[in-house]
Amino acid sequence: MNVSLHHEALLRSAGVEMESITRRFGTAAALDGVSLSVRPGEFVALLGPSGSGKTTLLRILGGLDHMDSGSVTIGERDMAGVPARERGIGFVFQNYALFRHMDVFANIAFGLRVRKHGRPSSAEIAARVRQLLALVQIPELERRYPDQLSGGQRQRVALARALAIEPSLLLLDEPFGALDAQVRKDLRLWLRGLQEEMGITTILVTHDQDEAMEVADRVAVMQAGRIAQFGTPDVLLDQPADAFVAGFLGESNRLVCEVRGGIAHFADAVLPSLAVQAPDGRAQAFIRPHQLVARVAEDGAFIVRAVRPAGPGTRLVLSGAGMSFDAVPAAGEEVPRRGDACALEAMGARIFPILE
Amino acid sequence: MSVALPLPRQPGASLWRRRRDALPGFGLALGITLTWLSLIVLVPLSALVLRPWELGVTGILQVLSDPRVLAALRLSFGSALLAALVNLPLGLLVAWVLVRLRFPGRRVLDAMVDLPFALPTAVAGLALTALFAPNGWLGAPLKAVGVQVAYTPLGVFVAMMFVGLPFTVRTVEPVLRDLGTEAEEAAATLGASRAQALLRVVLPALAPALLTGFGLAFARSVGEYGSVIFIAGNRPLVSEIAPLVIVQRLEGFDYAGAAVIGLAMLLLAFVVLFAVGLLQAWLRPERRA
Repeated sequence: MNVSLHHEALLRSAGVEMESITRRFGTAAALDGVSLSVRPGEFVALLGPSGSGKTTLLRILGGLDHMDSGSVTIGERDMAGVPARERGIGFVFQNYALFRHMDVFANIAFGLRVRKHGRPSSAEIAARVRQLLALVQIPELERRYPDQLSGGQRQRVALARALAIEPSLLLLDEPFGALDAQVRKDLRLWLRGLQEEMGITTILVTHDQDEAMEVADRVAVMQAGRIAQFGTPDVLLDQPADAFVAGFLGESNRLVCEVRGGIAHFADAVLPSLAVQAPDGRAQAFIRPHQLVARVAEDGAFIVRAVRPAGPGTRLVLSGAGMSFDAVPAAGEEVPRRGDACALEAMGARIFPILE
Repeated sequence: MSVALPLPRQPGASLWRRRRDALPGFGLALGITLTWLSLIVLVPLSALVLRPWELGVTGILQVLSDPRVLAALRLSFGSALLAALVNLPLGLLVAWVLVRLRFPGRRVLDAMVDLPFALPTAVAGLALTALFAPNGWLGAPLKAVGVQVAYTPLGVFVAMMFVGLPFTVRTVEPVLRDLGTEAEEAAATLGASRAQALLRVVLPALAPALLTGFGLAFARSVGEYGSVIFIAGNRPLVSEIAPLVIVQRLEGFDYAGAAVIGLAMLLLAFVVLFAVGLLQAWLRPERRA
């Protein structure tokens, strides 16, 4: 009885502690001293370009890959030497990895049927599977085979199968990667709702920042095997820790500048100089589109290439000085039209010194 | 010869026509296939089916009740079935090694698998005989422990295993490669042991390919002549295979008698392959859908 209670407690919401995880493939470090702490019940996204090590980290958590050094603690348990099958972690694979020769019911029941100890009776398994099918909203697909399902339906089956073992932690590897835009949006909102309802600790790997920002409580931005920054979506957008995060998240115009005495002088004087708070020296400036204002000007060096309505305002794409800029029209002034010559002015920028 | 010109069609009809044309050349492809198949397979087989009736029913029964013929058929089919059966786990293992493991010399092993395909069968037969002869490299030690392979039914079985193996390997290999490791990993995260993952996930996914491999290996072995007759020793009633009995009849100008045995082989092989096909259809998931 005690054992099962302990299991229950471990079950619902295990926290995850990763300590200086390193993993090498040959000489290249896929993970280079990654430490990350995930709170029980939290939804965390690992976000990064391909090759940043996010999937490797997820596989190590799931016990599908090993680390060269470091430690992983899930709940209270040190996972060193614990094989995947004993971890009790739900893993949803990028291509779902459904069992093709089994129908939906058998796929979901798999984790319960292979149990060596405390295997539920077949009536209990059937009840549990039906419950999960209802949870993922596909009760009518019970007898279908994976090749008879759409991508979104397969995704739901994969999720139900992972949840069947009542995991303490849910790991999702690019779960929406293979779906089309609308299904993807619906499904990720639904997943977020489901996660909140169940309170299960969830870690999702994605290269899609919208997805990460939308579903996750906190996002870990990864670059070249390291965590560049870990924080809430707000913090990541407003206070990026470095040039990589600033450039990777959200849209921004990227310019090189020279900072002298608190003034940023843009290379080739592309834009008027701007007061900033940054040490002297060469720097990378990130200017968000809403910080870059375009005014119609006869002698303007920038030509409007596209005008598109964006929410309450208007977004402009301009070209000039061999670059392309995303900007907004100056408030209260005439909205430039395609082909107009404009002057650009930055109202603010985020400056990161270039280390040489 | 007149050429049918396309007639103006109703809008609906033309739509239907266009849809059919999405895969062009249906008529041409089917026509060529059927013609070719008839020339190459059907005509010779019908000759085989028609020939024995020269002997009349009693003549046919007489040929088939010859103890020598019966023994040869039993040996051919028994050994071929057994060899194909033994090749299943063996072929699966080789395919597994080729797909899953990375080791120096893998390409050499890969090429070696095809050797029984490529080797002239008589060469294979001579090599096997030399190897298993009572004074051969393997034959001598085996003889010491009281096992004789060459010139016994066991030799027939060994030769059939040799020629059948590549069929099992090469049919299972691509399916195993396509299966990938993800399904097994998924099984592991769901709590399945290694054995459970193999039995419940990998083997069922491979079963259709294994059956095809079995069927092909069996078909190849049962008709095998060159590599078997050298090692078999061809003692009547003991180690004489059916194809050899056919050849002997031909040499004695008993064409109809030879055709009777040939027809019997054809029917038996058909029964076996048909059973394999049924099993495969039964394994197909749609059956239960």
